Amino acid sequence: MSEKKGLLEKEVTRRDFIKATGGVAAGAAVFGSFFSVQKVFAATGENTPDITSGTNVKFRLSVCQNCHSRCGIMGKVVDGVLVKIDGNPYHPNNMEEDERLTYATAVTTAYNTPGRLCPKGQAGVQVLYDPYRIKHPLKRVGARGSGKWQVISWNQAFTEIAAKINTLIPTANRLTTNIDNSVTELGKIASQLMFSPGRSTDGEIIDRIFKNTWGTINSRLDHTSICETSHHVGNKLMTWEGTKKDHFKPDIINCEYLILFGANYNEANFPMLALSRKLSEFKKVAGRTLVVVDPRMSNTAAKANTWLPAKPGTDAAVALAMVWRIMQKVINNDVDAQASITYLTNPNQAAATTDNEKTWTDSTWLVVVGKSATADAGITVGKYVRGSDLAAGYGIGANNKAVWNGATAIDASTAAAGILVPGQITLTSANGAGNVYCKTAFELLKEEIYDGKSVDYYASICGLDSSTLSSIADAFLLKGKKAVANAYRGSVQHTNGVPTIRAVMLLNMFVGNYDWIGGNAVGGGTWSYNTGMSGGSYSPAGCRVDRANVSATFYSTLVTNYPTKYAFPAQRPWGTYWLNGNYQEAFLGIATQYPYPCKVLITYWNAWPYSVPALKDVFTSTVTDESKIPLFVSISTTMGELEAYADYILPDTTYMEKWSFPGLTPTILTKATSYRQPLVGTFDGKAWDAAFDPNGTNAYAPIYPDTKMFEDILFGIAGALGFTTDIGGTALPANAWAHVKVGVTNLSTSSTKTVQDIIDKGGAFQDPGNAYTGNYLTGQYANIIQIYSEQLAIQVDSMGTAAAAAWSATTTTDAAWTNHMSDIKSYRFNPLAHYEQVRDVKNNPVTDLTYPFQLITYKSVLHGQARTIDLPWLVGIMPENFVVINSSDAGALDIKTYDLVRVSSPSNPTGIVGRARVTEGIRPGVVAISHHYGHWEHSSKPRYEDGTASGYDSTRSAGIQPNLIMRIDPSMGDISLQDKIGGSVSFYDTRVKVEKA
Amino acid sequence: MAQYGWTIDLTKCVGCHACSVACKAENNTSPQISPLTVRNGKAIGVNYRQVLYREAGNYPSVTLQFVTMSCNHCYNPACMAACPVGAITKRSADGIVLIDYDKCIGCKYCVWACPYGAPQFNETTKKVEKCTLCVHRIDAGLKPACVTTCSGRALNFENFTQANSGQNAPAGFSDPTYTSPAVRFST
Repeated sequence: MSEKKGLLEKEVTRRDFIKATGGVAAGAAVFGSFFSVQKVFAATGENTPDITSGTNVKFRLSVCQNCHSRCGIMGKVVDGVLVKIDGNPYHPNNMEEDERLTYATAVTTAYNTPGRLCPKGQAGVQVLYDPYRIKHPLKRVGARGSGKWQVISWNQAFTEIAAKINTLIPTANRLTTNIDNSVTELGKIASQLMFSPGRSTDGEIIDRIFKNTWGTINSRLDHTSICETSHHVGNKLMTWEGTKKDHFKPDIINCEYLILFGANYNEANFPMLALSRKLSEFKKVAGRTLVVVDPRMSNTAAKANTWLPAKPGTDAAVALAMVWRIMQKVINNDVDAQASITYLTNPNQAAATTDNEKTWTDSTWLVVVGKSATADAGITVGKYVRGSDLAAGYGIGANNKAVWNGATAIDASTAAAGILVPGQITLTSANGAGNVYCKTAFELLKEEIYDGKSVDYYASICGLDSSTLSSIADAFLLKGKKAVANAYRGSVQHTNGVPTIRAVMLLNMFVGNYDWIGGNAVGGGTWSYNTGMSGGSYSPAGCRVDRANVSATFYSTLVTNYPTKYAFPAQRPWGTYWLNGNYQEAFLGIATQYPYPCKVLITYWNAWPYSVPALKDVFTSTVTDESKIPLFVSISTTMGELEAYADYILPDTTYMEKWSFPGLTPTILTKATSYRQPLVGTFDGKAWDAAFDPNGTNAYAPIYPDTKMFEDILFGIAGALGFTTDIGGTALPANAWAHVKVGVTNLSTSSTKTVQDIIDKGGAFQDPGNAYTGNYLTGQYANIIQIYSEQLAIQVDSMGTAAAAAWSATTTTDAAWTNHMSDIKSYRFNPLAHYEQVRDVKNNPVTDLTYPFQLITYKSVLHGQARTIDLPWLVGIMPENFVVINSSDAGALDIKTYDLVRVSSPSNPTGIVGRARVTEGIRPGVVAISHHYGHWEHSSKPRYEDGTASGYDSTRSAGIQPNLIMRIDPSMGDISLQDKIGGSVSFYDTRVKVEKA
Repeated sequence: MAQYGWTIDLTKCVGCHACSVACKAENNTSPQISPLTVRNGKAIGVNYRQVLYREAGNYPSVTLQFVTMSCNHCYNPACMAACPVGAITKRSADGIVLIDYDKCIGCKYCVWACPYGAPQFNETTKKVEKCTLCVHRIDAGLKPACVTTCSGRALNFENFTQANSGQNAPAGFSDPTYTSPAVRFST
């Protein structure tokens, strides 16, 4: 090195090696396109990094929304321009507990210790400064979808929209006029105004305006059924007798054996930032095992000790192979199963507590499987037996369940233990004259998944090696409370979604890992903030257009009352347990005017035609028929595939210019409620860097001054309709801040943090070190986990036959002991976890075996949902997506990486054409295409505003969208395959052909 | 002479590209705004830090490894030796290798000389750019942007010891004896 000494010691200053560009925006009064001009300068490559500190640098802490993980962000704002987004170092999504700032740490420290943030979150800068954002209210010119727009004022927009709403649905009569006088059960005409927020964290204001002020039951037709709703529904059905929890996650940091089914922690599952960080720590500890079930070698499978590339749609079989193995040890009283047996025989909290358990199960609870003709009429086959079903001599409380103690039935709420497999039990009915025939939930599960089956049986279904599955099951059982199985979207967005998540969750039940350190967690929870933010609650009568959440008897009653109009099977499915709604059926309800027509559709952050499988054609034909949707208003920052057909587009601000109070997922074991707030823009005409005054009016001026906050748009529409109060008489807030201030004040009270701290630190966060209490998680479920779902056992299938619907669970009687579980499975829904093949909503198998490949989809770590194609930093890393195919399949078809290939399906024989990527990292017979690409709008082409063409970026249409070839339900003909129980759309059950294009 | 260098835990790199995007956001490398220019499937621009995906083996015995790569601020930078105009220097205080854009003539000799693909030719400016180890942040007492953002806590920087150059490097990593890169790996 000595010969270079002189050169090495020659110092250059920063000024020498980075040519100055003149910096970013110099003044405070910067608005509109000036921002993009400045970014163009930076893009020329002269590479001036932004300054790190100074009087013209401000840091603001808030919450991301470039996906739904709700991580904290810290924006660096220089002269009013957002130049960089880092993570919020107080936020538990962004920082591990050993590095996260305590809440008392001064914010000035936070500014110099930026938190972690994923690529999507960092690219939020480009959401804000996207040059093709919608910057003014637009009114369509010509036909819907013509791409031609007139720029109008907000006043004109609100006035015209209100007038049209009044013409279609007279405001004065909206709560009294029936939609259909001949079927009054459908509800009132207010419900013909439908609000569909694809994605939002604004539930309070949505409820306040649409439900509690306007009065529509269709106030939240949201997206969860294209996300993972069957996961939520399955978990809720397993906790129905408890507190109905829809989401559990492993305590990854202390877990020792982790099996992931269709949950891609390092790319897609949320919050990816926290999940991937914790999984990385997990991997660093010797003796821990990660098993990943995924047909594709995902970034998560890349870290697995064992990758199990199961056949798509067979995750239930993988899980049940393991459950079978463990159940065998339980039944045989194996030494390795003793802890499981102890856990499973606890029928209530007191019994659990005696064994140092926080949770218990229904394993020993008795279920009615038959009854004699002399038994009471009200006893229902398929339900847990209640004390009220039984003779008084048993001494079981009327609403309490029963267990068998070896001699008699006793009260499950006080029994010290019950017997798991007592065989068939005959009890005396309440009237003392009849018999009630019972089995335990565990025994019913055994009959369903164990008897006559084997690990080999399940291994052949899922296409995996049975000895591998057995050894994984054995290892899982040995890790006990520190073994966790977790599943998400990949397992449940199938026609068999709910039974599959229940099969996976059985693994957690069999080791009893809930609430234990290293076990299955319900999360640290949140502080409340929303009291009063929705105004006075109004409960609209009737049913939703997506027919979700109707009572178990709603449709049967329609059939009974109006037999000429309604029958079994129904025209479209009805869902009692579509607990998060049904996004695809919502649109098909509008398209087919079933159960009633739409008059006004208002959307927000909605990408129906792009995001929902096989919906594009139905969407287009429906929105271009103005009789189906007489008024179509979209609230959006961007010109997406849906907005392109709207009558009016009302441009809201981005998530960096708005307020809300996002919560956490169960991955986070400490408590928090974060606070989203504007990073840029000005309040009450003050300077960009003025301190935020919570006592001010805080009229907001965003960076594009003709855009508005979502709340203010809703207040504008409500005001133009003449509303000053909600239906209950509570006054509407004067502006967005007046609404949000209530939440900040509430949060300050509930969290005991000051308003100033909440504003300064982007929320209220419990300090690190509070995740655990002794051997347990601090945040606990502490309630029952259920094998059996009586909800499903008694739910009438709206798509079933009239004969099935006519079967009665209360009048079915027998002279002798009879087990009616097969009737329940035939005529109702299978109340137990099980594997089932792909089927349509009328229960016909869908095989399509002439199409040789199974299509699966996945989400890239670089992208969120339907909007991130707008962000050059992300797209620049991977400008298009691929048809991912195994090398053996590709070889047989003479396909090489980057060849153009056509992928077609029974529902789209023309198919889509994209580039191949040949890999060893996918199961042969399976092809994978990611989401995010293949847009046909999103400013990939110009739009015309007042006759002038906008700029555009043709690279935004690169790649392919697999939704366009997804399988249409053959029994319906107009909608994708779906899980009839949970409402999940299917993303992974389509068979395809692949050929060189 | 002090020397900063990278430590990369390959087990903890999850392939998320957060470091790459942090670098673009911090250093304002091109492209910064739509429209992108895409040629042969690649976006035109410069990227000081990139994440490589490396697949090996045959189904089902497949491995997939992620390796984050940038300028390694070598003890003996090949780029510096190759530069005909003396535009590339190495700071004595911390070993950071820098390009003086006023002197760079865009000949790309450094691009060819570097075994790690660090120097990037900018088609707009016709000059070469590369990772500065966020020298402006170092000088302000801060860590590089890629380090502070790393999702998996895989990427760090430290006062480097030359003997550790290339330690535990993944397969395919260029022989560290050529330039003595200030990077070491762990698994």
